[in-house]
Amino acid sequence: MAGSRVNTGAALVSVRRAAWIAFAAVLCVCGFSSAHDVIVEQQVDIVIRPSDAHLVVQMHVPASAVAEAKLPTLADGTLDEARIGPALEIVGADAARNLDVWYDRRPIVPSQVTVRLSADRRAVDVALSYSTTGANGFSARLNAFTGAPLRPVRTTVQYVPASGSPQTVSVVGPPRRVAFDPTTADVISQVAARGLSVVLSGGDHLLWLLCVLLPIRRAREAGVVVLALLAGQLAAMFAPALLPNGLGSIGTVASLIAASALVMAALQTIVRARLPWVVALTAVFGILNGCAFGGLLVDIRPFAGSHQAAALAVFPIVVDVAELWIAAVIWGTRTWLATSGLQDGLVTITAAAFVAHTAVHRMLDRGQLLVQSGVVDSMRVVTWLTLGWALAMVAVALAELFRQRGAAARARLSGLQRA
Amino acid sequence: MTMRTQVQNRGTLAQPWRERLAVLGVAAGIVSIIGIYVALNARTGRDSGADLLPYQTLVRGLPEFDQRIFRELRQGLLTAEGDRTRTSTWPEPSALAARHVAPFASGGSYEWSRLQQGTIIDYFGQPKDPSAPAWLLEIQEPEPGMLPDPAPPDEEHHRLSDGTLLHTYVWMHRFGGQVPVGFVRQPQNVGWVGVFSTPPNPVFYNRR
Repeated sequence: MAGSRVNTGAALVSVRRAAWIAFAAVLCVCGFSSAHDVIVEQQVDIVIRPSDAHLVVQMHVPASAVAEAKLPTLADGTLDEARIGPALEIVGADAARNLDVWYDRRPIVPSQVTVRLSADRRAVDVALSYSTTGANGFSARLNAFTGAPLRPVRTTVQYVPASGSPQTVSVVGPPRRVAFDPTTADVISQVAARGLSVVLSGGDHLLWLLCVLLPIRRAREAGVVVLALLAGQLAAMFAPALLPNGLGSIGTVASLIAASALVMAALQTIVRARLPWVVALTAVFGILNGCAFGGLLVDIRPFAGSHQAAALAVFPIVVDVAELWIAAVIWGTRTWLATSGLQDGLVTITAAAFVAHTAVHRMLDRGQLLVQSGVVDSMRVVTWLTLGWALAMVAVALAELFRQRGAAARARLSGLQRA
Repeated sequence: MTMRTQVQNRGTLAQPWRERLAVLGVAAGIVSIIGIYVALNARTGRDSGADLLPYQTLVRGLPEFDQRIFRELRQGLLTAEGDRTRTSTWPEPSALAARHVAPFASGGSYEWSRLQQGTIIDYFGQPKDPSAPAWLLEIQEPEPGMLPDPAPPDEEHHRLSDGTLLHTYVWMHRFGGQVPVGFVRQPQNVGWVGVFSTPPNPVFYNRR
């Protein structure tokens, strides 16, 4: 009789667990319901050439980025050269004023401003000349043009020093002052702050750590999983930084696959996969995720000026130490929660469902980026890919449900036979 | 007589200590992560102005000349508030310029006007250089019969010595030469950008 009660209890736990899995699957499928907007950037190009006596700045500003100037246009949308008159000079003076070039930590004003329409009459070309006494110590306020929420402005600057290789800096978002010859201490502090904020700002790596450290593991097993992640990331982090043009759209493809791997990790957590499989998948995820970190490194490097080596060394160290620290906190918290009597299945499956749900959203977002960049022909491919993962989740949930119901039925039967 | 022997396992004794240490370790880890996150946000958030609305900006992101005008406007406002307390009227820009109060006496680079509708007073600065930004100092006095505003004094909320709580805002408009001089009811709807030293407190940011 007692044996029967135990078996009935076990069956009840199994059915509860299966119900949680079904709930997780439904939550995952719900990832489709939101719409996503398409963002089209407006590009402002600037070339800055310092020399011993002059600093020359050439700006190419699309008319849409200076919409507030209300420049006259023709029916085909191009600028009306006949009516534009003094408005062009006003745009040039505004561009110079908002670029706010500093030399030796003080603002300087251009000695000459030349403005003309671009050849296609869809942009304004501004040339500024500044008198200086040296070729180093310049900074400028970048991306001071006004965009719209779905049409943000990106400013890309090519800084061509008198000696040494040119640097390319790209800024999007609010206006930002950029120093073209920063000190080593400035570079280290900026790169460390950026690395820490990236690790703490909720990227795929945090979801992954949460997912793989949720099931109760011994310290050594948890350590192996985390080391596999860090090794994979380190192996791939430098690749985009060392390639001449970064990874380009390959980076987005890698992050799309990384989001898919997150769904797989959530499935592994739910079905309690064996450690070697978890470690293998973690290493693969680490490589894919490392590409994303490498992309950030590519973005950060131009701001390091001539201190590229410092940026390349500090960023991975800060990222790895911060991830180790977070992993230790997650593992410690999970181990402590396990001793407090909280139901294991409840924690694991709910968190795995959350991770899978978030991963499905991220897959859609990255798929849209690929569609925008022309790598993928249509959104349909991405939708089918995402739908495939959601269906895989549902299939796993059903398989687990039937398996556990079968196990519960067998346990009940053997209990009855014993009674 | 019954003899009771108490046998305590060393492992059992060590268990609570181990658990306490684990809890303290986890708590320290969580607190340190939150601490670093908050510190980073305080550092980067101040610069990026992530808490601002689309029509708001922080003064530290503006060009040096515009930062100076902003500081002068905020300083000049205090002088105008002193006049308002003494005379119950807001001074004309020409009166402030005659007393060398910046930016109203800024060497003729701006033409200042005082405009008023009901309890809202605008000091409008139109630049002589059409490529320079226009500036607007907006002062909102309390409407008669309104309940006292509970907002604490800060950059936007100034309390006069007679107890009146004012709402004060500074706005700028790019290509100021194109902006017609006139009272502006809703600056954010016609291309003006609100300028702040620090992101405004969303609880008390109640422009009318």
